[in-house]
Amino acid sequence: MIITLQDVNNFNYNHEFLVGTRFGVRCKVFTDEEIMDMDFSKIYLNIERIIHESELDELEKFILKFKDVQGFYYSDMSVFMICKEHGLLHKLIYNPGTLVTSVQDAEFYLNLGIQRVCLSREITLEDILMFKHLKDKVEIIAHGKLNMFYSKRKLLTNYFTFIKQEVQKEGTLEEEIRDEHYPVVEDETGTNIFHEKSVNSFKEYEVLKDFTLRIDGYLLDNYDYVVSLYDRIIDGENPESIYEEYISKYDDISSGYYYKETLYKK
Amino acid sequence: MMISQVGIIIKKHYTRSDKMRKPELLAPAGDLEKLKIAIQYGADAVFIGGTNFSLRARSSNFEVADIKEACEFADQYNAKIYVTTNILPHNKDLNGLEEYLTALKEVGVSAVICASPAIIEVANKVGIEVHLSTQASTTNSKGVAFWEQFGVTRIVTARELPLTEIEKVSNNSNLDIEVFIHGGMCVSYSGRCTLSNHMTDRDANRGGCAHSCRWNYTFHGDKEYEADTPFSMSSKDLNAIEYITRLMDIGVDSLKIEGRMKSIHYIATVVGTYRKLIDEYYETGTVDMEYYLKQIEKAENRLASIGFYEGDPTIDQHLYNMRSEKPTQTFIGLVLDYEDGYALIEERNKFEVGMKAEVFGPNIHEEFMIEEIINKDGEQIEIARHPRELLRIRVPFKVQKNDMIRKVL
Repeated sequence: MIITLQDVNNFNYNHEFLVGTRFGVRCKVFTDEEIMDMDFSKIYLNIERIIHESELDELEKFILKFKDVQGFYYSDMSVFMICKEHGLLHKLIYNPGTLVTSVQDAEFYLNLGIQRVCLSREITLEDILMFKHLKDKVEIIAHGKLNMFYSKRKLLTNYFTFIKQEVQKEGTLEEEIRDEHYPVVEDETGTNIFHEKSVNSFKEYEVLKDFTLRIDGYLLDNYDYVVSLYDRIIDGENPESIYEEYISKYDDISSGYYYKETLYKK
Repeated sequence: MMISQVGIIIKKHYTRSDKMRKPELLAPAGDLEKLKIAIQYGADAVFIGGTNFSLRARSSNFEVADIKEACEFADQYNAKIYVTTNILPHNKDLNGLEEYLTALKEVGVSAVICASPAIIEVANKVGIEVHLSTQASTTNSKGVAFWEQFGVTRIVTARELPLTEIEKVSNNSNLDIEVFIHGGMCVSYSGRCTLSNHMTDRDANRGGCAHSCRWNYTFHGDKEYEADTPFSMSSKDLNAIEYITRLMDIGVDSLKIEGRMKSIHYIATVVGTYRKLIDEYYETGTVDMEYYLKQIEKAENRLASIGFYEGDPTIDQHLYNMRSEKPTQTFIGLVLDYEDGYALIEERNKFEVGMKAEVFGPNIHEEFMIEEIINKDGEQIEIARHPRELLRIRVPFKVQKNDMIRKVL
């Protein structure tokens, strides 16, 4: 299981970690110096930002500086080309958020020699199981707040500038007729919006365990507890009772798209 | 070169750059009528959505037989037809893909616009040219080089590129570069949005986008604030008319207009204006931008701005709590025929005797006074009030089928 690093103290966990970097997105950002002090055998780096032409040289230096980590999560094809040039394709995990939606797409990327692909979030459990033959070369967000919007625009800064109020860069959005509060965060990379409730896979763990699973702790306030629950499932505890325990304490829970088909036809 | 955003006259002789070329003008069409207008008004290529594998389900209505007719019509004008097959397919969506792409190739489609490698691979197998959709958010030359390995011939770059970066990507790439110049814009990186999936159960990346980004929201944060205006992610449309000469200097290969749902008047106005601008700059190196700004304004347009062309958008590129549409209702009618000094027209908006009007078309732009309106019973009328009614109006110069007449305000 991969868990996103929220705090260097998390290294106590017996897992591998996805570490936010200055080329990352939707993550707690760790400095190059902080990353340098980490155990490279346990970490992957998030360099998932969309990259612009002027950043290519700096990105290449960054990749070479940290080439001994377990891998790089990326969404921009420049990362692929740089790694190809330096014989690092086996380090790559493709995570474009919404783009890997079919077995054929997943196989296309894996056949290029990369380590893993992350499935798009809006895929049903039934469809996820069609990727079963690819096993741990396919990664799924098992737990966390699913992202549903990524813009380069500084939407909160612009809004508060427009209404002439002090700029706030983190909060929630409530749509006029929907009783939900969607977390929204603006930073240097732009603006991201997330589902209100976190997807969980306690009850689905058994059928998903052959895939690579990730707990995305970004914006989770019960992160340590969540990781401990999955650890208990891995250790053999009954997922149903873990689920019951969780919902007795938290209502931050959703099944994401596992049981929700979102096809639209005219 | 001077660039103005507020209609300052730009009239200057330029030294053309070595890379300067005449780019393709690429227009949208939601049906065959619009497609024919787009081509007649000067589009070098038109992109359309078939009934399968295309985003924007509501404007993707072309059956293969329609696409065949489109290709045959385009051939007469030496124009090209591209078909969008740009969904991000789930497994069951891929059924019938090879047969479909084969049929497109056979009827003469020049290229398909794709975002999914699963579709690109089949297109390569079938032997139809592939353009990479903006859904792939290509923002740098290494991204272009990636897709070059897989037979893609053209990249539609992300809308997030400022002019300076378009230049760098274009300079450092081997493939054709296509950029957006006019029309609606996703406020997110295209394709990186599932608001619609979550809020309406409609898959934004399989043709069902409900435009949830354009709805009104309330922001809740740690600090109190006062606002009369709700939060919205709405973006103004793109209007890059003042950047066309620079894009030509850079050597961009294709300039893309968005809007498959737009009217024939919009298509004619926007395509016709860009056509003239491109031709004038290419032939003379001289551009009277004031004229073009005025012409493009005549499209029944939504509020527009420059998108990312000067860098990250500010409040000037956003819409807050307002309807964007500004219908002008100046489009009087479409010319169907001309005989003995009278144009037979199909009326579109109310007009009356005594009004000043202009005819515009692929080869004409001329003003006249409405002096005589005759209805289908041969009666002279003062005011035309019934859209779609066939009328004859006196026009003191020759006009042609598919020219358009509008009020001069």
